[in-house]
Amino acid sequence: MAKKSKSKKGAPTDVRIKLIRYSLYHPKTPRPLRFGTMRMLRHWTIHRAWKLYQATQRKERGYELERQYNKMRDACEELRLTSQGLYERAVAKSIFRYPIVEFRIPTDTPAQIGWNHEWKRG
Amino acid sequence: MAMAHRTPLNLLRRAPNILLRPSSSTFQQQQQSCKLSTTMPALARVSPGDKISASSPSKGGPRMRAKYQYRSPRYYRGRLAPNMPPPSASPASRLFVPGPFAAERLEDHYWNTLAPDLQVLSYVHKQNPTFNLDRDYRQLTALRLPPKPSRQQLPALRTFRNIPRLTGITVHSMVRAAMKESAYLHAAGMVVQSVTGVRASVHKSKENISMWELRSGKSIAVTAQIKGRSAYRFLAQLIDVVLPRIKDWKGIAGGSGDSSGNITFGLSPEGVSMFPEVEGIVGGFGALTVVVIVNYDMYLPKMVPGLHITIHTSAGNDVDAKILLKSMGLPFDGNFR
Repeated sequence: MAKKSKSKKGAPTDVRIKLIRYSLYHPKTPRPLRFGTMRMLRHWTIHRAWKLYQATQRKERGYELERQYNKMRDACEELRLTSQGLYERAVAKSIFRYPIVEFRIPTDTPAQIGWNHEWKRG
Repeated sequence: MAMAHRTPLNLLRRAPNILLRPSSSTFQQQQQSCKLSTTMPALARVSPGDKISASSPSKGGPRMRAKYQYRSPRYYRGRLAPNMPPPSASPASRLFVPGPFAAERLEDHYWNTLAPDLQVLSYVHKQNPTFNLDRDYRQLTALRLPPKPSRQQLPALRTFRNIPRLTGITVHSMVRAAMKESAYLHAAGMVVQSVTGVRASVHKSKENISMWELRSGKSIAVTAQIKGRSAYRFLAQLIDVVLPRIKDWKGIAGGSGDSSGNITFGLSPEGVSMFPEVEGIVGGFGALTVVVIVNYDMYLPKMVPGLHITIHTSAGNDVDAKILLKSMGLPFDGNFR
């Protein structure tokens, strides 16, 4: 089979495609950042502080959940020992239980019209 | 180029003896020792023309770029390789991504509200077993066969350690038109990359399927995996911005899932073009909404792909994963199976 020459190709490639190909696959990556000693030290300090903060936060969250769980367990056990009937009614559950479904993700800048009062569950 | 002003004389006298050569005159001695010494007073004013470059201090004079520039290796070649890349947190690393610039709303919401709620709702009270030794001894010590393996799985006991949480998101797009023209695949890669913020990896087809005009070894799909904070960001964006704007979308199919807590759903090209990264900037002023389409012009409209989005959760089963996602605000269509 003869080699296809470039001139025999059909319609020219779209500019947008060319641009996408260029930006995805060209080999020119920016050189790595170089910091001076003091600046690197500052960066490192902030990085360590941030890591420490994150570790603390992770632990705190875990402990908080554990505390809540233990309280819940103690309360149930107390109720069981106090009154068997109340305990059984408190523990009885259906299979699927959801948190509040209409809960939106909280935001600092909520919409001006926050709630559509005409809305009804479909 | 006189640089005697840089180091005070009393400092020079205290410098080690190597720097002070006894043979030459005092003036030359000062000059030489200045050039060789690497200690500089921190606050001394030096005009930029007189600075000695750090990488080649012997040159002196104006700053010049050193001949040898260290470049970290492109790939990690194992623990024993002589030249190691710097850790990804170091700004010199090729993998360095400048740190988080804002808190993730969904992540905070999960830890503040959803995780405690899920814990309460999935709580099952186990009372401590009580033994009456006289009564239960025979029964507990009787000879018995090993228990038969049962197919039915035990329900996972939820404690504070294993509350379901978001682990990651995989965005996948198979572009069949890429068999004919690679531009489709490139556009899909660009869309996936801009939507997720992660470099998309290309996959080749493994099988020949003549019905689909598929040949093995051809690149047809792109995927991107997001983890951690950016996964929360992506999901929040999906919930708040993209999914509410899709017309006539019922929600994720209730039967979706791979039975180990990973939920998948699809987005049509129309849905994908609702992403702000693809569509452009939307500015609103009360009732008047100004839509400025910038990014959408970067793609050929026919080349915007559909996406498969798989949400990985740490829940062991589908129902718990869907309960988590529903509480986060993803709509589901039909009952959970």
